Amino acid sequence: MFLNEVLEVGAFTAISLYILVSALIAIKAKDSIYAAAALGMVGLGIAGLIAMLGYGYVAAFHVVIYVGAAVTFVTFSVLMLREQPAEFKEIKVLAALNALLLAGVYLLAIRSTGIGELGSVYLNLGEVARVIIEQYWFPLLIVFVSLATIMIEGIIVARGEEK
Amino acid sequence: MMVLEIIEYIIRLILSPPIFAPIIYPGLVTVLVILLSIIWVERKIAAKVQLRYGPLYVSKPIGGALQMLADATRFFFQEIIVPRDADSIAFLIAPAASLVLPLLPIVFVPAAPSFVAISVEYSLPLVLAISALTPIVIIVMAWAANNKFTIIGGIREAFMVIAYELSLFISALAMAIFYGTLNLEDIVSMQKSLPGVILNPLAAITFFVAMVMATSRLPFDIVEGEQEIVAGPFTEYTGILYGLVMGAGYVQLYILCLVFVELFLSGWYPYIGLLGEIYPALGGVSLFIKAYLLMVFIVFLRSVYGRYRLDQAISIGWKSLLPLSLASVFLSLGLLAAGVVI
Amino acid sequence: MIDALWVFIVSAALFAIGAYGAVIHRNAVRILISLELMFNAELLLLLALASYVNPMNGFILSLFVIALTSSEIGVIVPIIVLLFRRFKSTDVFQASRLRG
Repeated sequence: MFLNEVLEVGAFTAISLYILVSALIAIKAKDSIYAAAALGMVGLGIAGLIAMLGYGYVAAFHVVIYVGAAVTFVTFSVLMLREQPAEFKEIKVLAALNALLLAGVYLLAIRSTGIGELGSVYLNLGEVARVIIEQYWFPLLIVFVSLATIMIEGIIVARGEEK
Repeated sequence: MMVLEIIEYIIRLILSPPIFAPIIYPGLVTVLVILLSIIWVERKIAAKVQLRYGPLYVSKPIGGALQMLADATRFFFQEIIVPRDADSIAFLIAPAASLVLPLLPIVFVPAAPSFVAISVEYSLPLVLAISALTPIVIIVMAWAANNKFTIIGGIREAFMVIAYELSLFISALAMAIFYGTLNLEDIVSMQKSLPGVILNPLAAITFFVAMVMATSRLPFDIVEGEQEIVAGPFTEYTGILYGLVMGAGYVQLYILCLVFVELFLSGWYPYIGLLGEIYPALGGVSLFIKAYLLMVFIVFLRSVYGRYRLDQAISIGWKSLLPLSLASVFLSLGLLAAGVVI
Repeated sequence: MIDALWVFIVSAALFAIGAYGAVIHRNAVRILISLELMFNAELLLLLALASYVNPMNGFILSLFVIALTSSEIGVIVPIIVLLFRRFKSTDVFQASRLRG
């Protein structure tokens, strides 16, 4: 229906604007707490776009793991460490130029992969789970080991202050 | 008869699940009614335990039940004071965000068979994920007020998140592992004869304690400990903003109680077919009754327990709750391996 | 259906904003936030491109990528904390004082 298309385009535009505005807040805010909260908002927006592409479970995973845990971690660390807002003001123009050139190279590199329509992916969760257990059990094992290592590292760094 | 058709279309639109569920039941209107009643119930229960009357002045014949309506009306007429050193934009936006964000998962929680606003096959992680975003808003609120008490309250909130979040997720996922699905509707439909709490009581206990920690109910109301840090992150709020932030905790409690009833207490069963004929959502009213009774029980805990210290709460979260939640996962796996079929 | 060009443009714009922030800031946590903005941009790009080639592998790879990036934050923040303990400031220009 025509209404569906309008809603889809409207939702995509709204979420994209939300993401870009939140990203600008994340780098321009004076207090680091607002930057960390804006990072959380960018994560939410990206999760929305990922869900629109058809990967709904990845979006839920992103919100749980990344926004729920990692951004809270960053917010917490901002709260703990003393605030020293400082900017390297001399290279502002050069940094903006650098960013624009990076974006240009980025777009050029992916332009050649083809322009088409997105949003018609549908994957069955049970199927994905079967593929992970059958084909990719070794990366899963490595992820487990690395997460355990990082937890031990966190405990060691946290205990270090007692000495 | 164009007008009649338009009216019929509008009524059908309002009664459809995507509009009815988030706005009327079990969404916004129901939440407002619950907010007006549960705080009065809490005060009355605390009063009865302490052998006094509680709020009795407003509407004496029915025992003062309209007290919260009077309070809300009073809040609307009070002046909103924004401190001079506070960051006014974040200060004014944060209470609204802290009321909306816990309410957002209501679009994924089913209220009756096939009555859900947005039907996805992974609604359990979505509900828990959006509920986990609330602490970020509270930390922003604490920082924006630029007050020693609020910043200490924000730090306490950050510590409390570390204590409960993992156990909340793992114990909910233990039930999802046993039922083999992440969809809340399917999980409830599998509990027709046997509630989940009988199958996996460890997960039920862990989720219950983590839920009490998450919503800052006593014995874990460390964030807003009244006798210690004035009101924690909510110190500088006056007028209707104070009403909003005080209500936000109860909204979070409501959503988590709904999830608890759907995971462990067999949701909307017994399904009342008679009411279900009139309108599908009314047939699942036992879900609402069970969630409300659970909320009454949790606010009753206020009269029973003393408040924990912050380090005691964190050590409970990591030394008791986390091993229990991992044990509940192993219990689920053991039940699956033993071939328990319901 | 969403036109793929717009998804790429959003991803490139977010990447550019993150790159600008990573160069301009001196506070270590702000640099981390800018790097995480770039990560979000490339996660979107990963899934957009995977829709053309192999959606199943893109799904699984993005799950691993999200988990590992979150744990990478768990490594970077303790490094910042140790830096803070040593120099009493989170200014990365001070880190060049680490010698030997």
